[in-house]
Amino acid sequence: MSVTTTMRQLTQALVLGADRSPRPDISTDAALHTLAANSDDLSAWLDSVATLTLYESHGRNPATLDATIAPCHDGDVQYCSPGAAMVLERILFGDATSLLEEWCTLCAAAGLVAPPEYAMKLMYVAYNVRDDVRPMVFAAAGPRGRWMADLQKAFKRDTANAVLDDADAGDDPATIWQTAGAHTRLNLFRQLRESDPAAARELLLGSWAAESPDDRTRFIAQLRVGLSLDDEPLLEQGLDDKRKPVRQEAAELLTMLPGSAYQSRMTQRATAAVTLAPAKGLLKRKPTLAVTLPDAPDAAAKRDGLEDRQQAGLGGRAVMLRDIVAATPLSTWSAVTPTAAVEIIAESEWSAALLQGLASAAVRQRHSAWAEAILLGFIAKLDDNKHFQWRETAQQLLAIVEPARREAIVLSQLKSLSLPDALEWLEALPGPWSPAASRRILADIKSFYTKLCESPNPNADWQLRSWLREALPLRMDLAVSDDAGKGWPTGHPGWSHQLNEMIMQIDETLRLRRLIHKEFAT
Amino acid sequence: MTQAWTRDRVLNLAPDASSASAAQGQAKRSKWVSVGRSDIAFWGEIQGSGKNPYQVRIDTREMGYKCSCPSRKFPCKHALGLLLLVADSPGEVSEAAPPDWVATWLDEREARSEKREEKAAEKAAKPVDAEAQAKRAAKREERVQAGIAELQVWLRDLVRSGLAAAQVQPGSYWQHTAARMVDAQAPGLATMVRKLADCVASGEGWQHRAASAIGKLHLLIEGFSRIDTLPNAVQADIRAAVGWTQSTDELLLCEGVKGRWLVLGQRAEEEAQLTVQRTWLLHEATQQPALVLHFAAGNQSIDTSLVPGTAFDGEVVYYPGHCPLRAIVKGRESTASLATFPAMTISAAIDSYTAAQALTPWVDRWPFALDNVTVVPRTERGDTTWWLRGADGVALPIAPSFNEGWSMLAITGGRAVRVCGEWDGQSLTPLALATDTAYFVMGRQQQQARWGRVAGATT
Repeated sequence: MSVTTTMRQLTQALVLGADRSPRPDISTDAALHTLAANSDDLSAWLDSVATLTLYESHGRNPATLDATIAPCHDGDVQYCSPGAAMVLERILFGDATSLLEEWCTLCAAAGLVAPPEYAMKLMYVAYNVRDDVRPMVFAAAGPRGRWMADLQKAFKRDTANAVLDDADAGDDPATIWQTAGAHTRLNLFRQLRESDPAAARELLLGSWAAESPDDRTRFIAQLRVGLSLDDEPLLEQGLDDKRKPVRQEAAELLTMLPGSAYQSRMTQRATAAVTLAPAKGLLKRKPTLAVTLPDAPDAAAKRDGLEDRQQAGLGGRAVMLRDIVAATPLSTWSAVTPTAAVEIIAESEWSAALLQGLASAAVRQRHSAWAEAILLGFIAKLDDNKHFQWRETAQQLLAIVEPARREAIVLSQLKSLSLPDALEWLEALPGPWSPAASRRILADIKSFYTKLCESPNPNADWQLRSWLREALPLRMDLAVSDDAGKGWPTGHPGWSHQLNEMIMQIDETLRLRRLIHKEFAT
Repeated sequence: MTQAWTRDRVLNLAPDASSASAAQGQAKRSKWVSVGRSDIAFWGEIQGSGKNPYQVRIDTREMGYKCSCPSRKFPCKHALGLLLLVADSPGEVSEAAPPDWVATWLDEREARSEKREEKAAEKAAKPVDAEAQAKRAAKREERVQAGIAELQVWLRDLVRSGLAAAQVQPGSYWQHTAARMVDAQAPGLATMVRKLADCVASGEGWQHRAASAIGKLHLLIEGFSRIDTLPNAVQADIRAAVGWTQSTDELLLCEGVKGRWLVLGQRAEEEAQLTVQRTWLLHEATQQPALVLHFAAGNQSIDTSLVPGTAFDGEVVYYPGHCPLRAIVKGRESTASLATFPAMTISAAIDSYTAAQALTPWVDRWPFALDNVTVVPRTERGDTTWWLRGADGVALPIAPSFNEGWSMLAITGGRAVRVCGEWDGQSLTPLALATDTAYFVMGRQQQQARWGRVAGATT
């Protein structure tokens, strides 16, 4: 009998128990029969089990494996310095998570990548934690990261630790389009729009009629990626759709296409409704504005998405006026400068509708001059009620304004409003700030705290505190950051332990930022 | 210790996760009123929530800490914070002459350790009271024999009623016997009983595993009952397997193996409220392995004097046995970073394991240092298993409990590397790997197992 068989028999006997099972006869076994001669059956069994256990563990041969993996082609990749790697360690596994974007940006700019032991964590963060900076973080993982991603795709269905959840790289898009589930097709469409918008469009056109309304809504929203005039026919088709979300999305995208038929239709309507004439002659100093509310929407207007419906304090026709202006290219109003236009519009009875429309147009068309004019006009006519409605629009406009002008506007707001209220404006000012702005803002915050310590109102700054901890050190200019830890009223009795912690954290984040810049500068 | 201080090393000293995170908050230079270092110590004064700043002193020779804060944790967050500061910005902690409060403490420590050495030498020089010792040994032997007899009866009952019946027994069935073994001063037997309990509950294939565990237990019991007929080295092995070990003081008096020793890797495991840390050493000249065990109970922090990825010149004393493995470090000087280690093929490594087992059947784990292996994942029935494959196609499975396979693959880039790890007869747990350019160690950073690069290794 072979060893395996004997062992199996003995194991079975052990499982059932000596009282119940038949006795395996080891007296016939070539090697074990000497043990059978000893004492009682039970001892003989146990001796045999012990002997066979040893035999098995001594004699076990290793397995052989044919499968291998093609190694990664690193090329002439260059890894970052150990100092930079140390900061990355803090970012990925420690307390400095907010510095990820800056680290990856500087790393890419220096032409370096992260050391291979961080590749997996970077990929995990790129795909599961920070979608917004995915390409940058993925790039920091370097050739090893890409290689791992390809490998994981092959193992995707089998590993619990799979990092990626994208469509199979193996199958061709057309097959996936026809056979896969909604989520996979959407991912595929989005990816394809990034690399080959025309191919994606063709796929969608082919199956448009057969798609479910929900799918149509989702897909047409994805056309935003890689949008071009070639997409116009598909979008016009979308305008004719039965479902309102599809029509709305199609209209929204068409407003972003300069030169489209949709835009010329809207322009026609706009010039019919609004006449903005420049100042003429020596007597008339101001430009003139003439507004005729549009008529009730006809079939063409409804198709283009115009509706006679009350909304947000505006009457139905005023809403139409707003939407028409929002879809018109701002070049239509080029006869008058934006500042002058805003001034004259503000005096008109239709100012709300027109300004809202122009604001939407400026945001969509990313027109910084108009955005600035509207924003300044809005600030000049600050009205408590309107303020609340305009908050979001103001932030969007601020994002479009030119960076240098943006700072000037925010700093002037900082001056006129007191600090907790001016926080919104500060929040809307994305970094990196200029050195002058950084200094001003820091000084203002310090003087705010000095005043606060004198008339303690412990909760006046609770919103400010978290913003200071998280956003301030990331946006400040590093050249002036050395003073960040000094000049606070720490000696004051009103100064609390938590505020101290806050300053420590700001200081530490700035120190790490300086370190990252230093490490990547060489 | 000339080893550079890295963040990971400091955080590993923390007794628990909350200390580690508290320490990070203390690591800002602005918090410290004063800091300084000398070649054997670090010190600093930090403003805490009390009136006067806390005084922190750290002795790097034997890793001693003293802080004037009221915390009961050891080391406290201030000491850890100071070390983190040293690791992050070494330039901020400059060399200086130690102030009085530091110098006094260092002197006191030296005096105390000198006294300890004197006492130990006295004890060694004292004529051993052979009679009393023999009496103690005889008493212990009696207890262990009684325990073994009890265990034998228990085992035979188990075999008679069958493993299937034992499988449905409550946990107390096994715990009771294990506890009885501990009472009988045979903790090694208690561990084997617990291992048997784990095998019975281990799922698919449990029958074979349990049978093997029973085989080994029976072998030990039988061996002990015949112990006087066996050669000395085997006797030592049996006693060690039962859990009866020589005291470290006695061992330190023996001659050890001198030379350059490489600290390959380290692994800590929790069993029954005790943390056991296994550190694997390799003698460079003879390629003889050694295992150093450290224990820590509950919240105590575990010994960190042996750092994986380093090499030292010193003397290591083995515990007596037929196949010497367990050892303690007697003396140590001059540490350096490791770039690589001597390694062998998979087949040769398995042969070494078999040879060791032939000498001592109770070898639990054996170190493998494998050359020229690639990390290969495979999927079988929906699970990914990891393998180390040699150039000739021979492959070893990596333990299923090992979670960092993908990271390992990323580090190696699919190329052949040197890997060292623990082999338990079934699978390998990787502990360190050496590529062409760096040495990586599987470390327990902040209670999370992760691959870390060893700083200072030559590239």
